Amino acid sequence: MTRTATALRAALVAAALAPLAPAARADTLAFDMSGKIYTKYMYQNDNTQGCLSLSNPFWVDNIGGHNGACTEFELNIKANVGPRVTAGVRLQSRWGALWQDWWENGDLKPGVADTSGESLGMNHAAYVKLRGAYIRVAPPIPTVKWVTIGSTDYSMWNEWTIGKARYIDRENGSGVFVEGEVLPRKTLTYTVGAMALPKLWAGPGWQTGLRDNDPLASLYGTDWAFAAKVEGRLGDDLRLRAVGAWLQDWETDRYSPMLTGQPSSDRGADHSVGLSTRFRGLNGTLDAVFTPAALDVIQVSALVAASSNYVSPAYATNLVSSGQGFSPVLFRTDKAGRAVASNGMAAKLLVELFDPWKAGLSLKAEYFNIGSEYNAVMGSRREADVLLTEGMITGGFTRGGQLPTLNIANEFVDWDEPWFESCIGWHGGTLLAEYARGSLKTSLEYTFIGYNTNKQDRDVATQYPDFLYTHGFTDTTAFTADSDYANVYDRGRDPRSVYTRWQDRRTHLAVLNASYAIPAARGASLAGKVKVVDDRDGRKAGTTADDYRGRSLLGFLALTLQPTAELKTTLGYEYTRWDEKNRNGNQSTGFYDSKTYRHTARAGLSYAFGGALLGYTLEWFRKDLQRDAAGGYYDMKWNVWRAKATVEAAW
Amino acid sequence: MVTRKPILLGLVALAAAGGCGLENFLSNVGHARYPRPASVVRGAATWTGARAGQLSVSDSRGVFEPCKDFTDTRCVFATKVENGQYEIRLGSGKYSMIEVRGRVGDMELRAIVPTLGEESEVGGVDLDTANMVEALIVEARLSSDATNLGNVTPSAYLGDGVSTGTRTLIRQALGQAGPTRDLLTLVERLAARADPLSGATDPFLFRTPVLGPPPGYAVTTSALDLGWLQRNQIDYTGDGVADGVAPFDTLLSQAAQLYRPAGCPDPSHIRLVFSVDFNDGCLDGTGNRVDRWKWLSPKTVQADHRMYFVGWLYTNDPPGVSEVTDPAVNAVLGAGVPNTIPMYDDGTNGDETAGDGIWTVVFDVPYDPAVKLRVGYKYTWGTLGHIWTGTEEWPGNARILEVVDVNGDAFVYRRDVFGDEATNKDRANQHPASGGSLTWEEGIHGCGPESREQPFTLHDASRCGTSFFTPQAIGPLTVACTQ
Repeated sequence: MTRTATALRAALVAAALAPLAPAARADTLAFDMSGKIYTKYMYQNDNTQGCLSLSNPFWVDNIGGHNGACTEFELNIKANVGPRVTAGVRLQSRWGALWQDWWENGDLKPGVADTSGESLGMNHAAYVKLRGAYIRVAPPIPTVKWVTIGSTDYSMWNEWTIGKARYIDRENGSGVFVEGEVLPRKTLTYTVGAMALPKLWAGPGWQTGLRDNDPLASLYGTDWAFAAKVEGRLGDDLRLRAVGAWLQDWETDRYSPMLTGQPSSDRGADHSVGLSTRFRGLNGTLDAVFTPAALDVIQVSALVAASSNYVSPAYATNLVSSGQGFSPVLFRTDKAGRAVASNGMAAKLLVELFDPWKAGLSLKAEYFNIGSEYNAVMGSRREADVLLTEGMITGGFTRGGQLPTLNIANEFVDWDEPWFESCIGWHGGTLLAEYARGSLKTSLEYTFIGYNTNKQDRDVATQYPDFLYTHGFTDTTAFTADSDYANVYDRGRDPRSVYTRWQDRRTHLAVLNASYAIPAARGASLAGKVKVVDDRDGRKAGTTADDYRGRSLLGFLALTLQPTAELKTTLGYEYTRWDEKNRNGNQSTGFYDSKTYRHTARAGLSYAFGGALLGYTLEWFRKDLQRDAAGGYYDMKWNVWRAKATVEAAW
Repeated sequence: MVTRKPILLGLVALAAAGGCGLENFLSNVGHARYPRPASVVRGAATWTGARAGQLSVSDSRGVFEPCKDFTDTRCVFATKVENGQYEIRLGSGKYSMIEVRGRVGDMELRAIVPTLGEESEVGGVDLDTANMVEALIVEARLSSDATNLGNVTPSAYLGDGVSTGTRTLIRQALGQAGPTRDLLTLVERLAARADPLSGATDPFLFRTPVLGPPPGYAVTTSALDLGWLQRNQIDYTGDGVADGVAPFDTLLSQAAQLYRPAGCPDPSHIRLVFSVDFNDGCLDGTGNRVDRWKWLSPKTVQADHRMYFVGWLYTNDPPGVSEVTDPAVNAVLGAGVPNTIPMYDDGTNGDETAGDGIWTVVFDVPYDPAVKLRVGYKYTWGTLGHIWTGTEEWPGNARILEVVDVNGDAFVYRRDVFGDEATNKDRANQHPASGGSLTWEEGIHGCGPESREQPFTLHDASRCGTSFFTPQAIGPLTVACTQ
């Protein structure tokens, strides 16, 4: 009886409302929605927990660690609002919630003994955050093709000016952009943009005015970057591009009368404040690519760049002097001690011959000359590479690259991700021969690096940041093993370190890469690599007792098999040996040798099936760091097992 | 139609240029950095080749250091000398009875600046022999009175400019025959013998003199260096014989006895001193640890935040209104407007110890034991001009103080713990013995009425101290002596 009455009442209500409700209609042509689930599992034989190998220790951050499983979800919505207007948004859950977290809800209770299990804050709450919101308009204005307002990854500029945001930040940046075409067929195009400066990393002290980071600064809402790009073609052979960027970090003029006393007009107070520059970064590049139609085997690329970075010591704490030499900017002063801009130039020239003899042999030669003070403060921080050379930081399993900035970011990464090093001051050349015939692909590289940063008695106390760890091959494998960014386990040079007090350095580097597709087995291949580095630094002139010499030998071999169309497996081994003379120490205590032996083995698989992708990698490495006990150093040993599994599905 | 496209283009371009931070450039066009607010002293540096490095400023606590950062006071951040005129820029603040010092080889010249306000200037502070004589006399007399420049009331020192005040009287005496004029003559003769190229560590002439107590007023530390006089065989008395320090000391002693720079007690006003302890871990009136950040935002120490005092004539009844109702007194106390009257923790303006987390402010208020002066007040931690919210000790209610000099030391000195709601808070008082509200005569710590000055225990508002505290960093309020 009761159930009948309820059904009848529902039917009556529905009938009454039916004429009032407009018919819903899904405009699927103008509406695109996609989703993705990404799950990661991590294991390591240590006592950390989290889903991120290398986090950042400089603030309250509880997402770094090696044991756990985490899931994130993103929902992309794009709409064609009209023929000339599009819009999009990404809803992305916060990374960091472990499967084990269960009830975490963001209810952080600092200073309280909390037994609720819901106390780790929003980093573990998997909340959904608005990201990547934009609107694009194609207004009927001469030359203007698109106006974009909202989020983007800044990829329209280049690594030397404003670089593409790293993957984890890919749409955190927002701005206003205008793209246009002055001459048809992309003969002359332009892009201009204004971008809100990220308050956390783009400036002195890796921030633009966070009160708790820098007692001299507190204003970040006024800070913007401006950039312009012009691209054109001269005929079919020559492409030209100019990019300019201006980073402007303002602070309130602290002596504005409105802030220092009564708002009396006699004092000059006028209910406004003045602004003073905390940081101003200027970067510009001009690059050209010449591809003669008459000789299609050759391509010549050239780039010149200039930078000027000014820091006001009145509004930016000097981290060279008070931050142990960790600073993404220089604090240059003139002879009178006044703050002046740090200026630098850079240039590179790349000539490429694509199989000119039709024998499978291609040649590349690159000359690079990057000034000792060229610094793209907002250039690419990772996931890009401006030089042809492999550089020093790459290994067998570890990929990487070189970037012209002190603002390189090798954090918020897992142990299987690439590493990047600063190439500020590098001056030299690379010769690269590539041979491909049939199933065989090989390349042989030789690179010589001299250093524009070579100088005696450089002021690393107040002007030039040395990043504390200035010598020794950087061990990226061990870096990610310890979930520790402070390098307390002696893992070599900080990849950002380009200045030392005494430097007279040059480096030789040779790399042989080879891969062979095994004809007998579908998808099977064998890859190998040998890399040799000879790195010398005479340090202080007039004495040889402090000379550094590092010799690196790397051997790598990997076998890839593909038993089925969906399954791919890889088994690899890497051997690294570093023999370093005078690696540790300083001028007053003396220098001491060290030797490093590292064995790394990996087994991995990937499985793609019906839109789902599964990946798993198991790694074991053993490292022996032998140091000179005479200097008070002790030996260290690593015996690390770790694994990473991912599964993702997109629709 | 012809003009529509350019107009549209212009409007869109303007919209694109706006909304992206470019307005900052527009509003900042022509903006030169504002100069640092300063308290400025100017005057003549009367010796040849005067340089900025020869100048300094001191008070009774010593020579001012160069400013370390933009929040510093009691410091020098710029000094220059041009065409014989100097300018010294001090961190903007309230200064009283400071001395400008000019070190010329083996000689030091000094000039007293009785008062210097925030963002203000005082000129004519010449480093010459006349001001040196004034400084010597005042230094000598104050030492004899066992006090120092820091305890001198500037208004008493200046007097009326006609017939009262130490400065007035000394300036007049310099033009008349007598010990003061004679002392000037000796100073001029000695100054002429100074060696501007000397590298002497301490000055040989015009050191700070020290006199013994009355009635003898004997010089115990001479302003002159005997060795220097003997080495140079100086005849500064003009009698044809090289002199020692005695003639100078005798004359200085005679001159010092003529003046009373310390002033005489003010019969109608009293010095009212509030100090508040902002250190972490202080105890409130119930002995519980105070959470000083409880009502503050943000909850960490900020470089641009400081302590402010806000007071007013108390008007709530009960517990009882103030009988002093003069609006001028109300205004002096802050008239209930928060974050306008700064307190000091830099060793100036009555603060006993720089940087100890105890902030101080001093008022000179009318005092008549027969007329009750009752004050409501609070402390706020914020920035200049900030509103109550996020800066006050607690929302609503007030501390209360009746201006009564309980121990008769010519001060009413009150010490509080920031955020303590269990001592002299008028309502919603957290001390159980208060019953939630407080009367003017009620004591809840066995230390006398909570609304009065009390002996205090450092960092602990729950315990009565063993004795009353008399400020050392500032003297009692005085007026110019009339006889």
